[in-house]
Amino acid sequence: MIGYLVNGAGRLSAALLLPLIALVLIGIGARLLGFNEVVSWPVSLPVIGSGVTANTLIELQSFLFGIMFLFAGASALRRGEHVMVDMLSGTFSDRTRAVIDSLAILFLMLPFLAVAGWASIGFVERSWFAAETSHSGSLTHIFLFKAAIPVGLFLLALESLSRLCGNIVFLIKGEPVRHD
Amino acid sequence: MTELLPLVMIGLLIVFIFLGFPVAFVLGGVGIGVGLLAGLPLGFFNIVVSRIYVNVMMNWLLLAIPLFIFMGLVLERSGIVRTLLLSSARMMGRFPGNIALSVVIIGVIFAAATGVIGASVVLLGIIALPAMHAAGYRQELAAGVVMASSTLGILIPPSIMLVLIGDQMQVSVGKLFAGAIMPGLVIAGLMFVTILSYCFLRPQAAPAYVDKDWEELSFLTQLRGFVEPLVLITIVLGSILAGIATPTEAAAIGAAGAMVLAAMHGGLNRRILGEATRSTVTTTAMVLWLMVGATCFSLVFTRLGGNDLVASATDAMGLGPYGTMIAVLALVFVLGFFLEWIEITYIVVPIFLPVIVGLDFGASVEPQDIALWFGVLLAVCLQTSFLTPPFGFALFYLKGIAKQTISVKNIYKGAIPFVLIQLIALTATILFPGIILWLPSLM
Amino acid sequence: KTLEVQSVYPNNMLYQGESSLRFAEQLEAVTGGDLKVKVFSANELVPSFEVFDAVSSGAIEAGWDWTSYWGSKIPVANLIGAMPFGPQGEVFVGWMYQGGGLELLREAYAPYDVVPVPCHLTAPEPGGWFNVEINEPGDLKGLSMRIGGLGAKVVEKLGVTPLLIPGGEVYLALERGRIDAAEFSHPSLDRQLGLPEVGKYYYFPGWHQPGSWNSLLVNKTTWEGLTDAQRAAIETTCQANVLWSLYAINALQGDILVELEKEGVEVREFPETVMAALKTATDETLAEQAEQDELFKRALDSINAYVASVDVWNAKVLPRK
Ligand code: NA
Ligand code: NA
Repeated sequence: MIGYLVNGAGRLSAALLLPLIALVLIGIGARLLGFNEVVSWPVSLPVIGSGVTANTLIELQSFLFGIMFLFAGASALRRGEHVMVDMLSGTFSDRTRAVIDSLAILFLMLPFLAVAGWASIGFVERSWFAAETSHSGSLTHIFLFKAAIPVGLFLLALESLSRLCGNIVFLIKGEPVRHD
Repeated sequence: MTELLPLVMIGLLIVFIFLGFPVAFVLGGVGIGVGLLAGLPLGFFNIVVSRIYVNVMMNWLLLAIPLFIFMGLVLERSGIVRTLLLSSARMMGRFPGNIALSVVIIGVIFAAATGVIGASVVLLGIIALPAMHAAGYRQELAAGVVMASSTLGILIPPSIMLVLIGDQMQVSVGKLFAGAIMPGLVIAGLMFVTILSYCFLRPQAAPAYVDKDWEELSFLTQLRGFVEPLVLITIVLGSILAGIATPTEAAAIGAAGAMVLAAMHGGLNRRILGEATRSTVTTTAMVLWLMVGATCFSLVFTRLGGNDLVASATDAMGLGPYGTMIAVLALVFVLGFFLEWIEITYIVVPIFLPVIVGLDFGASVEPQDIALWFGVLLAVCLQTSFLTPPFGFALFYLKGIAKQTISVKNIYKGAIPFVLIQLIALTATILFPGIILWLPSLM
Repeated sequence: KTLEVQSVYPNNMLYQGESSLRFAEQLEAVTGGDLKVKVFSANELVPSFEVFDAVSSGAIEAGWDWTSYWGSKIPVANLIGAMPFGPQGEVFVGWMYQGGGLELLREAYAPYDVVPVPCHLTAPEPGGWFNVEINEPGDLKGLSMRIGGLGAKVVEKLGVTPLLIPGGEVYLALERGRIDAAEFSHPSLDRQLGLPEVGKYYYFPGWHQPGSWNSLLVNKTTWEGLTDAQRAAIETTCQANVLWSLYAINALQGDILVELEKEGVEVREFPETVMAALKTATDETLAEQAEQDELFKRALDSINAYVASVDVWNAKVLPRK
């Protein structure tokens, strides 16, 4: 279940990359052709308002980029791709490693995720309350983008809890848990 | 007592990193943990989120990172890098060391568009090691060439290392790119000359490599395989140096260009695109979560007076401008034994930059150029540290892919000459800042 | 008590950074050391665009801002931060302290638990560096320009692409033609950034921000925890600081401008037709913003009414030039 969520978020992130490249290219094209307004329409839509300008593109790129790396953090952890130094820990036994990993999750990872997660919810709330727009005013409903931060932190918390459970099962039963 | 808390933070950081926990979360966890124990109110940590939002998420400059990584991965997966290597070796003909010299050339052209040292070493290693092995190269030489060339790419622009340093130092990335070109070429030149003379003196250590498929390759195909990637890199780099495009825009052009090239070579399909995007976002997440952790760590470090502590300690040592600069670079060099460049950049720069830019180098470096000069020196120094035994990352990655063919001892031995070349270049750029500052001054 | 203040400006920045440090020094002197202020340089703890949020959540006790920075949360902040063709100098000061400005600003920030104390009024900034001649409104069409705030919305109406480029990149962007124009700061800072080397024409007047407010932002709980005397000391010291900000750099800029002209910078004036077009676009922009936000409308009406009444008097009492 957790694996399904985490991997799904990772796939969503990957799917954002090509649109992101396209957005940057459209921005370059618009600038070279001297357009500021790329397209506009008569009604005001959520998030993008009533038109797309050069600044809309730039700000949208930043937000997509943010969502991309925030959502992919948990799946990177699952795939063991976060930078770590294993020259000492490589010599430890599997048991020792599981103990250290569990303690680090309990005393480093989870406190970090809990405090940052708690703060990020207030952060999103304040943005929602202020009906915050982007700095150039091109994008509205900024709280939706800001909400990617608590989501990313939450996914990481789920993944580290699942890792913690795996470690505990291993320490009790003595055989490693297979990840799906 | 509380004034020593920043030191406690650094101590805990080192301990947990060595216990093998992901560095991003060690940074974040130590930051929050020590902050809470030091009695900072819970509300203070709201700033952590502000910093994640502004410094990482909304940082348009950092957008260049996934785009450069993607560009490198597409070129790699679609076989373009392999064609480039073989074409260039073929063009040199039956000359001893032809494949080794080709590897250096590729290092210069783009090895680290991917920016992550590991990826470059693996890439060049997988392509070139079998060829060198088949030709009968000495193991040390083969290992050294692959490691040194792939770390070269991270210094020579486009380089995500310089993008991150520019962001951290608030120096124009375009100027950093310009500043790194000369030192990069000096190192590449020294490597080229060293390998060339070594092969000339001991041809049996690096026999000429001849591929049996070569006869089928037409001259035109070779030329294409060589020229196309070169044109792509020239466009990317040129548009940044000419100031027409931001690094982010240039990276997008590079990413699109890589896809076009791959398509032209019939190497673009759903599977490759899927692998490349997936791998790109994973690597990007790794780099950027590290920044998230680092921004949390440095917030608490600053709040607890860590910056002042470092500044006064540096002052107290009374090393003078050059002494201080060299001490900082030496620290970076030593940290490079243990840590990846991203962590070093994010730990060292915020702490030492204020000290460094305040130094007086007299007429040799103008005050407004100090940050630029230091930024490139830092890059050269970091690049060197990938190669330093016993704990260079390039060494580890190479060991990972060449378990059977090359012994650890030979990997270490192979790295040493190249580390010496790097140190010569580093000394030269400290003594003659013009090597770095000349090109940017023309911009 | 030491009040911790996160500034949006680097402490070593001329004028703007200087101002917050000067305030800190004066406040300590005025209170005989009872109230000290520690100013954190830009981004040291909180990134500049997040200072308001940090003061609001209580993460930090106080901030030093440019009011326009909060326009994306509180539209009226854009107006008080920098009103194109708006009042300047003693007129803007009058509106703030006498014409209802302070009450409006406090009302706007109250829902966020932030108490603003206006503490600096930035002198008008030039119209910007242009690499093309601006002879008629049509010349603006298709230009890329570094400019922010309401001014950006105004020039957008005349076909300009406004871009916010970080300070460090402005030089290169202007030199290599990625942008055609840039508004940055006063001549002293523009020169520090090297803009005279890469900008052909230095255009005047500074229509986009004749006067712009900077405030000390204090978290509500912190503010209420201060004694009456401490609060009075802060407000009075801030008023003294506003006075300083009005005179501190004008003569200096004049000297620098003369030097720049000697070095070959072409100082130009926007022709009347361009100024008229900018004024029309400004009126449209302000009307649109007022339509979308009630507080913005009240502030705009209030400023216009105050300026009008001062004008009636000034037209009579001042000798014609
Ligand atoms: Na490179
Ligand atoms: Na090393």
